[in-house]
Amino acid sequence: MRSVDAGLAAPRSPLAAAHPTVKLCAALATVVLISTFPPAPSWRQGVTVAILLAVWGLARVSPGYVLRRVAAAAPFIALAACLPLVSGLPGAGALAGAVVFKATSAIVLLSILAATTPVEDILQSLCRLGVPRAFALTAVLMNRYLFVLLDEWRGISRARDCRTGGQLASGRCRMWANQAAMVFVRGWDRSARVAQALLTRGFRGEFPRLQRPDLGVAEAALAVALPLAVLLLRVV
Amino acid sequence: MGDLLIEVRDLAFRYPGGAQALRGVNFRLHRSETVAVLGANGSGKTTFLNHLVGLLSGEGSVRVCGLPVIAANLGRIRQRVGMLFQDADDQIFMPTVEDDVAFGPLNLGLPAEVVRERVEWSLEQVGLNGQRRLPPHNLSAGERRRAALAGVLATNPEILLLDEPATFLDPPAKRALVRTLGSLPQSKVLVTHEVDFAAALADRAVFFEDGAIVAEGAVSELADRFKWR
Repeated sequence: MRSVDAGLAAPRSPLAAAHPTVKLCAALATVVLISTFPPAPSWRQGVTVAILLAVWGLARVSPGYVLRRVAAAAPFIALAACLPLVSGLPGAGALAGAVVFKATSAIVLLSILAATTPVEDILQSLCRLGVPRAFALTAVLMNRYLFVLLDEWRGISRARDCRTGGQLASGRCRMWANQAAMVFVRGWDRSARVAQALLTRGFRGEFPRLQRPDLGVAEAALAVALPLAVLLLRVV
Repeated sequence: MGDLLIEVRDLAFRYPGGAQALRGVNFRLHRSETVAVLGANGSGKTTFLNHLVGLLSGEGSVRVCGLPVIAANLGRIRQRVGMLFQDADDQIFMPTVEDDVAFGPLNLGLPAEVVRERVEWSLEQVGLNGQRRLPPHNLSAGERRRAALAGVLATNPEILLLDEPATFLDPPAKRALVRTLGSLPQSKVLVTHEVDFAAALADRAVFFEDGAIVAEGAVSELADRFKWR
């Protein structure tokens, strides 16, 4: 049984081999820095795009992988870009362009991060970076049980299709709502059993993991290189 | 007969607002012994197991490794008792097989080096060394069962409580599980519907009916008596 995240999109790139905390820090810092660029179009945007393309190439992520994610976010980006246009503010066009540029850059960077870093490593890195424990614990369990719930959804769908021949005369929405309710109730029951299993295995409020080695100087330098380049663009 | 590891006296339990799940259960498990717990669905087998690790608490007395099963002793008892749940997905909650197997020993506060050795040994016992870096949802049902067992073994418990360990396994996987469990030195309480599986592992069996142990003896004897084949 293979599920939706059976593997990384770019498992053999140099970026995939880098320390996940390095990649996470670099990606987040870069996104924050890009968001501080002034809205007026300038050479900065062009250089930033060149840097992003270089990172993309280094990551060896297929264009389709990134573009699908950009396309999924496009309606939301378009909506956000429309707001300055309808407001009638001076320089609305530049503002809308800046929204599109910053949001698209962020999605491209985070897609590259997702393609080269397992979700569990990202979560572990968030823990290292001091994200509140309750958030990290919830995310770890969600990451694990999302796939269990998806499998349950698929199982129920298969059973339904077997009984209906894949045809539904009417009430499609009602059927989906009932199915979602059933998965929710099963998930609720499962949560009680998971809690019991956690207790029997000595759970004390933390998910300890066998850690990867700590960051070396080279990896730490790599962590600051990308945001530093963007920072230079920002201040020059 | 070895030391007495589990002693249950007159255990009774009723779920809140529900039926009487256990009635006057008496049970003993000695060191190096494997006892099969047979009985129909809903006869109280899993409820009984849950009492042995303090997940439920009823009337009567339950002692594990000489300790009464009360809140103050639960940490020590759960270090000495490993429980394999009916549904492996309930008990594998870490992102990768290796992390999940390491979960128990790390929670015990063992040093990373010892944990790595335990993980290595446990995965070897269940034949999952090749799958250690996979997320659990990429394993088959049988592999998930073995991964859950590895997680239990890694804590090096004195007693194994196994709730329907052979469910969803195909015959070769069942045979492999019998070999693995048979080679383990721990005392075991084995809840199962499968007589052949129980007969291959258990020294004796008890039969649950309507929340009570109604018979005790050899697996084949109870299976014949209750037409349980």
